[in-house]
Amino acid sequence: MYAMSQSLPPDEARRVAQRRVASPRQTFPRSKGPLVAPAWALLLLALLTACPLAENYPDETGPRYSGDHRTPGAVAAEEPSPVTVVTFNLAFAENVSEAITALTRPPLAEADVIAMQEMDATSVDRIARELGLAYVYYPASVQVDGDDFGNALLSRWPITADRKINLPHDDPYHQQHRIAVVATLDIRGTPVQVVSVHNATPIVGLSGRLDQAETIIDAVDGTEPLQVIAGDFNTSDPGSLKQTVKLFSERGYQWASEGVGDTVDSVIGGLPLDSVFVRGLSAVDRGVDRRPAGSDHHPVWVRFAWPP
Amino acid sequence: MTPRHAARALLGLGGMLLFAPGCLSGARNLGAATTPEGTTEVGVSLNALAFERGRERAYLPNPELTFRKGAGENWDWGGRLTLLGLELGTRHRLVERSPWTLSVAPSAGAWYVPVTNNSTEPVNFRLGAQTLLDYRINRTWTITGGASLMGAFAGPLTVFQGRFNGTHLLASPGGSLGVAFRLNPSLELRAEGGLELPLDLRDGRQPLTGHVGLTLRWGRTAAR
Repeated sequence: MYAMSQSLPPDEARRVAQRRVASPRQTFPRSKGPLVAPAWALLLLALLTACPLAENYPDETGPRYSGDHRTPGAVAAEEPSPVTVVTFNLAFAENVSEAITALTRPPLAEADVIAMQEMDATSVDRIARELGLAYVYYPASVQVDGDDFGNALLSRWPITADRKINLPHDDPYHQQHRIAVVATLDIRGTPVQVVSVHNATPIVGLSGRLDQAETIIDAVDGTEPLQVIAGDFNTSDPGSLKQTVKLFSERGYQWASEGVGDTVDSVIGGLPLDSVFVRGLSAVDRGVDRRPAGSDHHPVWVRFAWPP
Repeated sequence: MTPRHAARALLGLGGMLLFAPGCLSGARNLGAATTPEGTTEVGVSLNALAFERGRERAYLPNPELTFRKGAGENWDWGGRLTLLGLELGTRHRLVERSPWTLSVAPSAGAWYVPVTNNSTEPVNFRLGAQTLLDYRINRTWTITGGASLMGAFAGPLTVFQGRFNGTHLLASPGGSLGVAFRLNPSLELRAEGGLELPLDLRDGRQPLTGHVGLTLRWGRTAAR
């Protein structure tokens, strides 16, 4: 079974959209003195204005991609116990094969829901097909290489509704837009709302990222009693994770991935960027799979007691 | 604390220093008395800034280099250099009636702040003026009160491409209180604290910012 609400846009068209006309070469006289400063100022201005603007998808309705590669009747007879949620930022969706290998081995194998970030439609569809999952995917913007960049939710259970949440505070350099993707899953007749989040990097200040988190909470508040909000919150700067956890706690969410530790290896050491927050479910186990998975992020998993 | 933790803390501190939001600093560490003509003063300041980061108050050190150059009988010019910004201005003595001195100091500055927050964007310009009032207690001690009004523009880098989405225009009234101690005729130590209340012309009042710091200023008169 396979259905897409929109065909993939041609890569060539996006490359054309991204193309930038090079600035004409400028020459300066060899004389020094007062002319040197303006030359440096012009160079600086040229560098600043060379930042390409991101091509964004601000439309709330799309582009939207969805598919269902589940084997008919595969989960209908099962009672999940527990329910496993994975969140995984696959770094521009460049190493899909490695990601599939990671997602098919314990402790990630048989995950009920996978929230993914930095994805493109082709990669989401391939992962869903190989793992036998239903999915919904919304791109947020177009990367400089022409590929889409967005969030996906993949599920062993039927996806009965989905939507995109536009997040405030585009990044100040490229004005790149961020989104969250919400899907309602039908787990044996019980609706569970799951959100795949990708907040802005610390280039957008902590206030902006907290605004983004609060926008997500406001958007799903009161819609379903069981909610999982998972993803890359970009909480790398000092104090940002603490304030993010505090915000979710104040709004009635538990930090289900508390204590899993760093989720990214970087040149400055490990960073705790990825988290899972939950309302109405009880976490019974959690962790980070630190084996190579095709990304700088490590997949985070949480198992929830079921029935809730 | 393990060596790894120490290294991370050090890197974190370095990063925070790099991103030190000098544009938030209203510290000018000036008195009302203008620098005499022919004299150049240089100073080093270490200020602590208080501002809102996320939804909590944060504090950062903000080192600055300052200089003033006497340009006339009643005015001088100079500026302050922060990690990622520069402010230049003049200072004009309006009233000299011992032990009081009243001056006004208009200034303009530009800052680059890599990481944004609240009404801070990468490109920041400030334009405004400060009124300074000195009261000389004796030959070594002087108290300075200041009141300022600054206008600020904060915008993303895309303003250079003509896209102003996300820019802020602010008016920031502020006040400061300082005390200066003259160590010798050419060396002064000044302590100053102050507050600014940024008002975003679109989003309304922003969280209060504050500063407190010490400045050591050294003056040198050019040989005639």
